[in-house]
Amino acid sequence: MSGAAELAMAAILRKKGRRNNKPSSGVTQEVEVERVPENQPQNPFTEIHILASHSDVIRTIIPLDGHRFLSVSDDHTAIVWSTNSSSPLCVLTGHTGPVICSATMMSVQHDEDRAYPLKEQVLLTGSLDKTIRVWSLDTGECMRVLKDHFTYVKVLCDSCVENLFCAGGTDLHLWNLEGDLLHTVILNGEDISHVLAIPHGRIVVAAANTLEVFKVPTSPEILQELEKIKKLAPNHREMILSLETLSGSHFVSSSLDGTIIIWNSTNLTMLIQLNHQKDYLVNHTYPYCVHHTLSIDQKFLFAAVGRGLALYTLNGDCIWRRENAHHSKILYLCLVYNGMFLASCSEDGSIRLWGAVGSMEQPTEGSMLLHKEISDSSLERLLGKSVNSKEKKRLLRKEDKYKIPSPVLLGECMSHSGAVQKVLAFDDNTMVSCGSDGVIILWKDGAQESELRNEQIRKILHFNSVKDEMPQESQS
Amino acid sequence: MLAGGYAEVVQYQTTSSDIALFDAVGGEEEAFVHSVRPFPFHLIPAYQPVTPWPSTKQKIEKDFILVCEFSEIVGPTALITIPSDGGRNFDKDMFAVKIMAVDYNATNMLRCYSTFTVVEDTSVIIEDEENIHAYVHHFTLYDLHARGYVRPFCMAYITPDKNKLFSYLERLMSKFRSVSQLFRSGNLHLFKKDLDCRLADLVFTKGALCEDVKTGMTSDPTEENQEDVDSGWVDLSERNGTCESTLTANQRFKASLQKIINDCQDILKELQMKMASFSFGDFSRKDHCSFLTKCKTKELPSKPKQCCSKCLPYNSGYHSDSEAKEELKRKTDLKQINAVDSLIFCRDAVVLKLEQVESSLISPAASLLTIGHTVEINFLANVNVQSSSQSLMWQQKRSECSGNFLVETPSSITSESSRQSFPLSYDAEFVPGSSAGSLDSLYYDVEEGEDEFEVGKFHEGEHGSWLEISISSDEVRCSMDSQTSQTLERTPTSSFSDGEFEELSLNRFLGPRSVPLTNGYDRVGLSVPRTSVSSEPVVSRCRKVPVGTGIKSFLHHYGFSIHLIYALLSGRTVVIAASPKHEKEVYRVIKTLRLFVPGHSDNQLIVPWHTKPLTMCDLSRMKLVGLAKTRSLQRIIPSTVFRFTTVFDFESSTLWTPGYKGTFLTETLNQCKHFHSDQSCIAVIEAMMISYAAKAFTFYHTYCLNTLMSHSQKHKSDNHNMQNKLTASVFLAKINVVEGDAKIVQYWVDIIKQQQIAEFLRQSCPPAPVKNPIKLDYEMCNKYHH
Repeated sequence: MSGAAELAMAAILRKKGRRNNKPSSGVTQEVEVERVPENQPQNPFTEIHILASHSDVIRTIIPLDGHRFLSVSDDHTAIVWSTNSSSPLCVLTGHTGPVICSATMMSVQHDEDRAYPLKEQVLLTGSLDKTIRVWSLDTGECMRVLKDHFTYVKVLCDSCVENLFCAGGTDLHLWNLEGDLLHTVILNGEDISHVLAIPHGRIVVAAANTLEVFKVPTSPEILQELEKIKKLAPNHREMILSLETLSGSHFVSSSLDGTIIIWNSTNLTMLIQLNHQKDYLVNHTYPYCVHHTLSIDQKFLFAAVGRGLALYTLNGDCIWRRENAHHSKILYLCLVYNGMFLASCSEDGSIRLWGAVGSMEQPTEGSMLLHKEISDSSLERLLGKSVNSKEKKRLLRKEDKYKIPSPVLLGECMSHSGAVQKVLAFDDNTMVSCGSDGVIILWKDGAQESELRNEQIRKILHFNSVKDEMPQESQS
Repeated sequence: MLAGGYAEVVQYQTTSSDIALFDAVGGEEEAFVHSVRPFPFHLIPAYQPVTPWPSTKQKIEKDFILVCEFSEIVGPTALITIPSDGGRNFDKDMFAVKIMAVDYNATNMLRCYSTFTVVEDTSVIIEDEENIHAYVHHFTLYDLHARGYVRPFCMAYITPDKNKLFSYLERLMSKFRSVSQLFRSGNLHLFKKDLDCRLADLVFTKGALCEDVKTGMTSDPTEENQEDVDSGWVDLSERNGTCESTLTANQRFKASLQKIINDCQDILKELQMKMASFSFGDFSRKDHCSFLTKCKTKELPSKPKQCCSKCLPYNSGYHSDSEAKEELKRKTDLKQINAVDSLIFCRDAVVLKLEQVESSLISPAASLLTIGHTVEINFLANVNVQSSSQSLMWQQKRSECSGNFLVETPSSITSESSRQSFPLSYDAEFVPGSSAGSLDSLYYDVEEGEDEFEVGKFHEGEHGSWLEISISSDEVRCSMDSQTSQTLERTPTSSFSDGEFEELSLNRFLGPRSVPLTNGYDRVGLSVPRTSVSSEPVVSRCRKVPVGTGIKSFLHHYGFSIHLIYALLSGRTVVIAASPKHEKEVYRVIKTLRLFVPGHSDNQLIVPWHTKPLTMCDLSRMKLVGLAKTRSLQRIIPSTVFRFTTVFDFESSTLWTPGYKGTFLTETLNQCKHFHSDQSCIAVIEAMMISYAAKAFTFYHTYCLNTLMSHSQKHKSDNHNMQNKLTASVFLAKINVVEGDAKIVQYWVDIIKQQQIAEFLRQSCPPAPVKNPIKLDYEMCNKYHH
């Protein structure tokens, strides 16, 4: 950690009256959780739609495109939603057991008659009924049922190789979209928890605390088998909780004990280990567990450490840390509202919004309607425009680049009655959250929605067209 | 207040005109006496002409329908009145004598020319000096056993208000005509059946007689041989003589029989012709057959009408006829006649008139702003909005757009009339088929006056199911038995307004049987709009206690009422939590506060008593909730919900809500202080509401519908214009609406926008479901204590 960053962080921590990091386990309970500013003037999410079509626990939600997302649930169904509507676009029924994972990929069909291959987005859903179903996203039809899986399907992952995908349960399977089981790899007996596709046609498979890398066959000519390349070392001490891509050349894994490891995806070696607790004792509350990491600008990494948040650089410096961000463990991190906020969702049922100390008197609600210069860097957008590109260069030259304004708590979105598992952000500034209470909530900017409704009514009443015709009438 | 005054003036005019434009049938002299008014007192002649009728000053307070029959034993008698207690202090029999004195059957061709004809209905308007005006509709039912085969009946609509009678005469006439049509079509079928039987009897008798005559000629002697062995031949010649006379008598009888048969056949022919000309409407053939067989086999339960059976001179035929009538009535007339009464029954002519005038302002319903079920302003009144079938878009001329202000203060409508309705003109193009969420619910109330509630309570007794009144409408619908579900058939699925809902649940709890016991007339009247087709006007229910009663004492008692009212007006859900033993008090408070609930959507805006913990989903539809508090407040209101609601703990008189910052409500409530009655307070409040509704109107038209501010345009224009962009709050500040008031105005406009979009979605193909978003207000709650 560079000295300047250390100083900056210390200053921040002093100012906020927070303790220094690395307290002994369990003591964090005493520290007061940060309070939400009164009236939350900067919280733009003033309108919600509650989507309560699922009758059981929702396992996950995944984004499909700019405005659609898929939710899979224990009620044996998967539902395609749009952020514009509070009713399902399409309900995918057919599974006979809880649907627990899903993925989306492109189905590519080469046709001799056509110059270009026919591409179609398909959905994959995996269920405890030991089948995988392939759905057409356009029609909602079930195109194929893959039954040879023999174990529960816990993970589905697009392999980034045309028409091939991987499914994980107890074993790792390689399938093609035609429904052929190409290869099965029997692992060490642990269930697979994560599969991540990395460049060069490789996949990383996380099972318990180990990570292994396999090579996916890239052309139909060669043997259609997964070729084991390497078992990554060192192992995590505890179960791996997340496996994310950091940049084109790095990926990151995090585990229950709090260790975050950044790996180089080319040579498959460890780049750096973050948040590593040296004198680690098994504590079943796992106060440092990292459920999710979120990379920003390919250079920075937000990590949900227990109930707190931390921001790391690829050098391993912790440039910001907030230990008691939530009342309970943070499960997921996401940039929302056009990157203006970092949303952290937690087991305490709330989603907290972090961002720059803006002008407090100017409410954020509806601010997207105003013109806003889009910054190049996500972090800058998140933390305000204080660092413009010129300044940034200057700062970089002076090696003072980590002196960034620290994110502050700007709002708290409370509407779920259980833990909030995942948050997604969409193009229209909608934030979608899914909770263990079985509902999905669309969070919208009330002012923006109001404007949209105005427009809709103008359209309904033909005010727009009337206006277009008006000038001619007035001239005549 | 305005309309209230207007109503009073009209009331005065009509009553005074009533005196001036009398139409006395009592005689010319009386007419003269009255027409030269004003006479000085001393000039008024002492002599008062006597009317032939007993001059007991008869009074009728409410309109009613009287059905009478010309009984062959006692003369004209009243059979039934609708409502059953109609004209309680009115000598109905005497009136029956009066209206049936004219034997309009004198024209009956059967008697005059001894040919049978089916007579048409006649109708007449009778005006009495006792301020009783009636539209009388005579019709005749046919009965084989009755004198001249006819039984004259008449239906009379009796009202003290002459103007009303004349203004709605057309409608009355058509309704009465359709009722009598139904009666007559059924009756003619029955009569024909009887005639067929009679004819068969006669033909048989004739055949037997012929046989008898023949055998009398040939076999008589042999018979006598056998019988009169001991009598000898002494009487033979004498017997021959009697035989001769019997024979001639028989032949004469045969001839007359033939004539009767011919008559019979003539009548049948006539009947057949007549019946062919009838259209039976919904009275289907199948129905009819079953009804006939029922009559024949006398499976029907004993008739409830005692007066009817008292004056029946004949047995079988008459019975079957009266039963037929009963059956017919059961099938048809209650619906039909009540359709008549629901329109104009028990409603003041002034109200009807006002309503007629104002009805144009109510459409399109989607752009109508109502607060506390009081019409405030229509945002698109008189706008030519035409729905084109293909695009489902509405063409409109902006220049025509104008605001129309409309008030229905309790003084004009709510208190004076017990029944509200919308005239036919209501279904304008904007709202075909008067969909849900529009105006059906406008005048439906959560509470049906105090006594309904009491009745429910009374019948419920200990098990207190009324508590469950707030269960979802779906549950209610599921548990409906066939009888009640029949009334639901035509109800659009989503149109459970508060009032309906309550009524249904009450119905359910009381059981369908007990419904007529409680308030037969009201119930019957109520069921009409739901069974009637959508072209029928929407009829709403009595409002015995006007909205907002007790507002004065509420304002006085709770110092924090301004914040509570602000929450209601700005669309924040207000929860009144109390332990179940205070349910009735909460009910009263809700009735008072209902005055401030904007909107008339199909959602349950007001839930008088909710027994489950509140959820976030509830916030989207409920705006004013009475909540059963079991033990602690936290148990029923989760912290997430608590944050976005205004909670009023009834027992501890504590209120958690964002404080009100603004001028509008302060001003309004200050004005209220100068008035001492609820009525005047409500008037003040509503006047103020209108002034604010005008602001909302301005905001809607200048800001929301302004294309210059459209979202898409903003993107096109350059950065300089961006700086000048007008946000909603800036705009509102320009029209002097700031802070809390801005929230109120924005919420009102939001209601209109949501209504319009919902209406649009409902009309789109396929109809899209409408779900309102939940607004989250992050403003911190303050705690207020009484």
